[in-house]
Amino acid sequence: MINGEVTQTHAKTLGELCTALGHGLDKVATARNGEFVPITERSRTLISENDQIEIVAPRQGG
Amino acid sequence: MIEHLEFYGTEIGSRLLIGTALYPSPQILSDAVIASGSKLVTVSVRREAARARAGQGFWELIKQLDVHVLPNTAGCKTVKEAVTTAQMARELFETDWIKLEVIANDDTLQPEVFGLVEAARILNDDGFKVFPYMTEDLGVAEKLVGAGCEVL
Repeated sequence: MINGEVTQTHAKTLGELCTALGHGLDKVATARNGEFVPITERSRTLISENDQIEIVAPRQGG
Repeated sequence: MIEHLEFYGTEIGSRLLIGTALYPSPQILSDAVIASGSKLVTVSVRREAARARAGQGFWELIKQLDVHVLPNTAGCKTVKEAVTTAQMARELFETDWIKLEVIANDDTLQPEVFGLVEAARILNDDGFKVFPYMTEDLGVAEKLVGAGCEVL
């Protein structure tokens, strides 16, 4: 599940997933199953079925 | 009146803090921040849809304004949610400042004070500079100071 929606993907890592979703070079931050995953760790973070992935970006608010 | 405003050892050139929500356009947001003279704007993090670039555009705008940013953990109801959101915000906005919100009730938006103090302690220990969202409760204020907060 990515940002609350069930999503099909062939990505094996969080880094591959971000690239597949078009976020490769963009300013986004990620969490997997409630745990923050730094950008430096995304390519080493394996993802699996039923993972809860959050991909967030800077936005207006506050 | 105290002329200078200082948070965590950083002097802010204006006593006005300004938000970035609900402006009708990025240009009006930019114009408003500049016209206000504010040097500290509050910002947020939101889910980014696939192939959307709204966040990238907002980030470019904020960098151009050359102001301090204060991201927040709006919408978080647990310590875990708030801590994870703060960590993501730190990476995104390249600042360890965080307006910490742990909310007990969606209608009143009153803080969940036990979680707020616990999250403040965790984040302060992790090098964050915490700005906790709280009510006028002096007892909670003392707990937050004890947890490392220098701003309430």
